[in-house]
Amino acid sequence: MSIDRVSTAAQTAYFLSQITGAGNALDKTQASIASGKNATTYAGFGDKTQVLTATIAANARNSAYTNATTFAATQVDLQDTQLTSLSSLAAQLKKAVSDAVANNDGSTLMTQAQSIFDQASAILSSKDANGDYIYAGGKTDTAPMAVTTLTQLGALSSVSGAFANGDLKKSVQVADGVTVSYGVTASDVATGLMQSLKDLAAFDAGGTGNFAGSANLTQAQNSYLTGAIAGITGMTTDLNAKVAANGYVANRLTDAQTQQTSMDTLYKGFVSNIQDTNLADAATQLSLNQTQLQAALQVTAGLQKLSLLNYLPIPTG
Amino acid sequence: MSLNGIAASAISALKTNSAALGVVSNNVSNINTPGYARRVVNQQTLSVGGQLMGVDIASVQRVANQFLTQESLSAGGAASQYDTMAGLFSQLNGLLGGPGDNQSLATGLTNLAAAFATASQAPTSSASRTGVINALNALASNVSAASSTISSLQKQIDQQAVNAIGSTNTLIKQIYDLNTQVRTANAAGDTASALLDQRDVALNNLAQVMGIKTSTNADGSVNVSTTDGINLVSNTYAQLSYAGGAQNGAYGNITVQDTNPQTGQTLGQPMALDPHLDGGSLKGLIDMRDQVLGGLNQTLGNMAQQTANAFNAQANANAAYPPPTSLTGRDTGLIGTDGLNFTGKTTIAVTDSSGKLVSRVDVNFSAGTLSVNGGGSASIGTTMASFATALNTALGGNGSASFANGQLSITATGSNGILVQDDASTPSARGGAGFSQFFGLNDVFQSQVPSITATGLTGSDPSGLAVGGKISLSMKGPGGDIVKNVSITTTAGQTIGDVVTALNTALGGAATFTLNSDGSISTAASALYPGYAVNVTGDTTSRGTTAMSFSQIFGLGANAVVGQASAFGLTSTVTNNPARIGFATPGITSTSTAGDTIVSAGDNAGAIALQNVITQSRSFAGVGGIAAQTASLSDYAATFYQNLSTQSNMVTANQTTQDDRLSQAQSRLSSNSGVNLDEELTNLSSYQQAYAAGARILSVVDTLYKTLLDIQ
Repeated sequence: MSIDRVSTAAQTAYFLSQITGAGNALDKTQASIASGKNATTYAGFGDKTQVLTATIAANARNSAYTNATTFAATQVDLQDTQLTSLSSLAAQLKKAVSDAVANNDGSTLMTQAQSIFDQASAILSSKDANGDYIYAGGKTDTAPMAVTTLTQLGALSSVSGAFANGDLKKSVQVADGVTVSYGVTASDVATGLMQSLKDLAAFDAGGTGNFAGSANLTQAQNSYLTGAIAGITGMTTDLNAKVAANGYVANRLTDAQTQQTSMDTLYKGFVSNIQDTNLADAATQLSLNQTQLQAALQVTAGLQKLSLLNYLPIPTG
Repeated sequence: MSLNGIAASAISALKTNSAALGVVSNNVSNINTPGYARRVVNQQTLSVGGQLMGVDIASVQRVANQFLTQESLSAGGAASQYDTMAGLFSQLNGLLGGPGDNQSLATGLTNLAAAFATASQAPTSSASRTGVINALNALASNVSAASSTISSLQKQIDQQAVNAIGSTNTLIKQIYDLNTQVRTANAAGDTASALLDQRDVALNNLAQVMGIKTSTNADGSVNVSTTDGINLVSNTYAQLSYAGGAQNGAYGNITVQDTNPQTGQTLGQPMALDPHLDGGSLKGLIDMRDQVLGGLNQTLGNMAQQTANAFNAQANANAAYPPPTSLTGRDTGLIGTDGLNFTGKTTIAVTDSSGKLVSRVDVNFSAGTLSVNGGGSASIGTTMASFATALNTALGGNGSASFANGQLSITATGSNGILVQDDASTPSARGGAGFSQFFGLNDVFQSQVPSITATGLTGSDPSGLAVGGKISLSMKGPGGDIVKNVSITTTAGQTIGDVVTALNTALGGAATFTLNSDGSISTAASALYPGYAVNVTGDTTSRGTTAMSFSQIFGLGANAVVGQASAFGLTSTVTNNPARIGFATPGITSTSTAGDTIVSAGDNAGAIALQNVITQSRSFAGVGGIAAQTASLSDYAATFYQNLSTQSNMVTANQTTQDDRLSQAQSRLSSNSGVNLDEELTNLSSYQQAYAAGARILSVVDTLYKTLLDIQ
């Protein structure tokens, strides 16, 4: 084995470089502990840069889906409550007509019908926080009800004239490539109810109508109301089915929200595994780096003492 | 031996050891001097007529090893190259931020998708529109800021290269001058001259700038060349020249030329140095400027172009509510006499302010006809101008249309609005873009060059270029050598095909431009020049009354794609009126009649379609080191950063390797040539003892003389 001679300056430079290297390693570990991140630049994540960037983006997209779905779910929930009220109004109409037949008294029937029409119109003309009509389909800037009184409704040739809403339904994107269509339009849910009210109003305005005019029902009035009950019952059932369909959409959105929460957890965990410092590892590394630096300093200090200069006699005169 | 002989021998010991102590003294003094090679004293016996007469210094040897020195120079060059690149990468990495921060392109894209998602649920809300405009602006500024950061760094690096040229020339001249002095010293017998140390320092410094190869001559001088043999110092010396700066984003190259030392005049022709650079900071600077940053800027441009095309295509397919009263498109660079060259069908509709159809003009480009409100057919002619005239006539009292200065403009009368809807089964297309997108009637993004480079122009279309316009091209290789610097001047009566032919003739077969059927121009370098790129270094042409040059219209040259990212921003139409971004989709059908609602306020299908743009797959061309691929905008953004990261880490790994190699080389060199203090102290002690012993002998001789003289 041959031992190379060593140049003093090179030796000093070598130990200095060891000290600098150990100092840099320590600094890097300290920075990673302080920031809580393994790196702060793209290059710092090496071959995981692409997957990290793509996952952060996917998670951000998921958050966007979550926000939009929450908005849609809120609207669907509100509609659910309102549609239940609408269904209850249909039941009230059925009861009012049935009561009139049972009690042989139609004197308050039209007052009740007017009240039901007003309440139904108010529901169908609801607006959201942005001032858009909820039941107007695409025409969110137009009131979906074209008539404002029961009399106007009764005078229409067709019930379709009572509605001014569009047909478009809103959609919400709940995941990459998955869209859920939601919301109902006024004509969708209220055509049956308005048809029943229109027929009643039209009869009332006709020759054998005028329920308020007599204490007891005439034969014609009784026949009409008896016949109308079946239609109103059918309409109520139909409306209930629409409420259920809206509930189904609400469930789809709730399912989507659950899925979004799972994806959020998954993405965040994945990102954290790559991006965040493992403190246990980092603390161990810090300790190792400190020892390394200390050793480099001690060796350098020790070598400085080792010189022939200390042993050669000083020439004396 | 006589007493005189003994005295003379002792005196030779004093002289020799005194001189040796001088050498030790120099070694100790220069213990920390960079480039200093230790001297050793070679002693020899002093003999007169074969008789031993003491000691003498045969030579003072400078301990140097040519192999170790060359390895150190070579390692120094490579380490310097990667040190330079790593330093610049560190700067770039700091400037471009980190994953998930707000300046990230991927973040900009997802924030935009999020803004569209919010808008889709509240399409009429002004807050939604503000959110979308802010997100669009943020994405655009992320792209343009990244591009500008990279371009600034390129300029800064270019300036560093310019500055390095001056000091390099000084070093080359210095080595030449030292060679002259070393030759003189050598002739006088001084083989360990301090000039050698100075020359080693100069060589070392030169190797840091550019990779060099050295060979020592018998007269002590050294020949220096690039590693592939381009002369730097011999009987002549070379000087480098580089003025710096880019022409239209394309950088020139460094030239090298020999100089006659006697006259100071240049010799021969200047030649490109760039392809001969192998290691050194200059190589690091050039590679960073052209390959790394140039490549990153190209990928960024590619992404900007795809982003603009993707969002513009969707924005043009959407409809705003209420429809705007007027649509004015981009400067297409087209002129009235250009062939119409559209296929498919589109409908231009006039609506009232609540989105109800007022009248419709159905255009069948394939048949060359249009009809108003489903009525009889009328011809649209075959040129841009004839179409605009026919459309204007068809709109009648409901609106007007014109085509001037490359821009199509359609306006509705009064408070009515205009919207365009392509046929679902046979959509209109010119060069692959739909009618509205091609003319940029509802564009969102724009840049300093058009994102649509498939112009739909044909070879027989008139060039429309003013006579005397000049298009300059340069063809640059991957190593930085420029093989062509040519230009053409436009003449009267040329067609587009003639201009392409003229450019090809000027390039002399080194590369070929081809006008494709979609009106784009592709470039291919010949087999002799693989990997060479043609850049447009200047273009003073102007097409008709448009503000577009020939190269702008076609996105000509490898450097054009970079322009897509610089000044990437929103169109002034959208900036001035956020309501122009369509969140709805028009609903014209074949049976739509006046009074039908064809666009409504609460329609959010367009907003959702815009939200989905970032995840749709698109075809990306292979540029700047990223291969051609089908990817979403979001994924391509991630690829951009991975490419940056990979290149940065590769440079760091090379830096570590080359630094280790340099340390090793320097360690071996200094083991051989460096001063060891203990060794010198031992020598010091040894020469001191020898000197003392010699003096003692003189003292003894003196005593002997006295003894002799005392004999009486």
